[in-house]
Amino acid sequence: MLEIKNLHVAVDGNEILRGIDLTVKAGEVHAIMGPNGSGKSTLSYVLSGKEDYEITEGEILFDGEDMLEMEPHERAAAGMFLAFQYPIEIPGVATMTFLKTALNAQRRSRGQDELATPDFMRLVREKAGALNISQDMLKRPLNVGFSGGEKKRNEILQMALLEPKLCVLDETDSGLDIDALRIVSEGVNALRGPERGMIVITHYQRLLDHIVPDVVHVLSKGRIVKTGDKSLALELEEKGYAQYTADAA
Amino acid sequence: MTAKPQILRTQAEQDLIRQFEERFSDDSDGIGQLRDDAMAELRQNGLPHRRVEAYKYTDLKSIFGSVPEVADRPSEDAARTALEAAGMWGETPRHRIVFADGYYFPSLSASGVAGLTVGGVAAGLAAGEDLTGRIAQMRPEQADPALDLNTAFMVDGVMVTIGADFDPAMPIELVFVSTLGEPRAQYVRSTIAVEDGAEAMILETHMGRDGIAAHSNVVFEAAIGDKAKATWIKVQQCGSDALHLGTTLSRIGGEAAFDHFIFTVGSKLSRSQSFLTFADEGSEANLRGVTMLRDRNHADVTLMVDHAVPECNSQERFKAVIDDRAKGVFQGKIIVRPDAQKTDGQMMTQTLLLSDDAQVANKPELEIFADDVQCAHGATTGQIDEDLLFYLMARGIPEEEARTLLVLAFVGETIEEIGNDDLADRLEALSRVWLLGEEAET
Repeated sequence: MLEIKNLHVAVDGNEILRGIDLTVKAGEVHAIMGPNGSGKSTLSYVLSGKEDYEITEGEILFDGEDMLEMEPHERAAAGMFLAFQYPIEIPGVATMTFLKTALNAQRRSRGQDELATPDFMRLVREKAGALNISQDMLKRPLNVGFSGGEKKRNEILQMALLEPKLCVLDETDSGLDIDALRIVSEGVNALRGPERGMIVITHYQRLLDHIVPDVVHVLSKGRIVKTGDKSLALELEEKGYAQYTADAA
Repeated sequence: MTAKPQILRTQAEQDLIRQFEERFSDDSDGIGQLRDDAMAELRQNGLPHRRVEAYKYTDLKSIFGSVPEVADRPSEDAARTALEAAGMWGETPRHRIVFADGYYFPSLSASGVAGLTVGGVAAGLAAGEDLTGRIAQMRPEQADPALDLNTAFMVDGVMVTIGADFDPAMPIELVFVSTLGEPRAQYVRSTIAVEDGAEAMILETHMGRDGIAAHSNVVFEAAIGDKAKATWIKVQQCGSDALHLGTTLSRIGGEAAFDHFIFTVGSKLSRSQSFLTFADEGSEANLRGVTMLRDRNHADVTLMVDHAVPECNSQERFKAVIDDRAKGVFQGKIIVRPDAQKTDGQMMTQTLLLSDDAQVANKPELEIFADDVQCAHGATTGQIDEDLLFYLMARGIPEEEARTLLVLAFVGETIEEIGNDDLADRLEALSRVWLLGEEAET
């Protein structure tokens, strides 16, 4: 589904990613762990198509298509979804309006009919209920005045509604208390399936107790320095990142 | 040889002097003195230019090329046709007070509404009524040339009284339509009294034809009584080549509430002025507005809030969206007089520039002579936030659609503050039409 080959990325002339190779197949959940500044968020932004990142080498294929040629909205319509580490507040845009605009834009670009309002409302209510998101929250402007936990739940709601093929979760656990972490994780786990790939980016092993990965990668100084199964996360929790940062230097 | 001082007058100034002499020099209508005084002021100072502080950014001397003749009264059929085409408020039920080319048409207007009385200015003058104590009673602190021009040339208008027995459920619309096929000028002077304890929603709607360089100069004097409550929404959607000068003078009684919303999407050049005076204690006023500008158009919003008495609150919140080579002007002045303790005055103006050549001039002024007050002003100018845009695009919304959503959200925030969902929806629809064209209306 996703193939990243020898990806080099620079920001303002500084090389942040220095040759990433990563393949995610449908049905797999990959965790990417690493210390601060290792390039985790850069990878997520490059995947979603944010500007200001210069791809100096390498390629990203999504279902065999060259993803680097696609605009952010085209990537989204093709099935790429980034759950933001810091969801953006947009005053004046009601959450419900935003959800409907996004879903229908994606449906249009895939040649599907737009969803009529009653059908859309039913769908949102169903998905929102499971994530403990109130009707009141949906009426409020997008993420404005939302708590950290509410913003993250709102990200997962978008993911549930848009049903992407590939979900990238960028430090979704940051700023969450234990209860919110459980709700968010359950929301993510409900979306696991044989057709869907996931990349879970996190600094801490804690999230991976809830969302158990198939593969764990350690990212350090812009390279994947070790790949293993879920036990690698536990080992990192115990020993820290020091050995990898030293290796990569 | 004696040299007489030569005053150089622009074409427009010459036009105005000639038109005034042809039309009003015989003092036939009983308000000749008012007209003469205003005209004397204009003769002395000419049209305001950029060295006149209040018109620094809106130089009427250079903008007024020439001044079209005063419009004649159109036929009732023509007025009705123009009115039927004016669909801004859709099916919203309202009491209409209709003007065509600046003339009041009682036959097309609401009548027999409990608590609402309307008298025509031209009809009153023609019937020999003495209107000297009834119109042109309010004056801003400094003489204003747009107001003087109106006082000198006023042709028609209405004198409206809204009593405490008026049912505020239905708005009153003062609608100004145009039948003009060629440039003409209209000068309308009206008074609105919202009596003690009365409540009303007032819509002031200006529409015109595109491509015609018509002038309109419209002045309202609004007296808001004690414990009265009025919301006033002005929508200026004159034609593409029109020039519009609008002035609202308001005097707010005690424990009253006045909301003034100015929505500007029309005209090549416009200036909307709101001069507000708190005359008694415990009142609140909100001045808000949205301006949307493109091409080389110019729109000026000039506000003056005079806290003459203690314990009143005023809030000004304006937003502008400016594209192409258009220019927006915001001037907001708050005066807090020595006696006006416990005043709360807040002013905020925000501008979204959609092109590199769009311009905005913001001029906030606070003059505070009392010590126990809270006053603040702020101004921001920016472009569409790239992070917001990226977030929307990352959810599958194409760039153009995302930009539209963000512009509508920007103005929508202020529009929704008018507190009437039905009217807010209509204004949001107008914003959408402005952005996307007529097809957006469905």
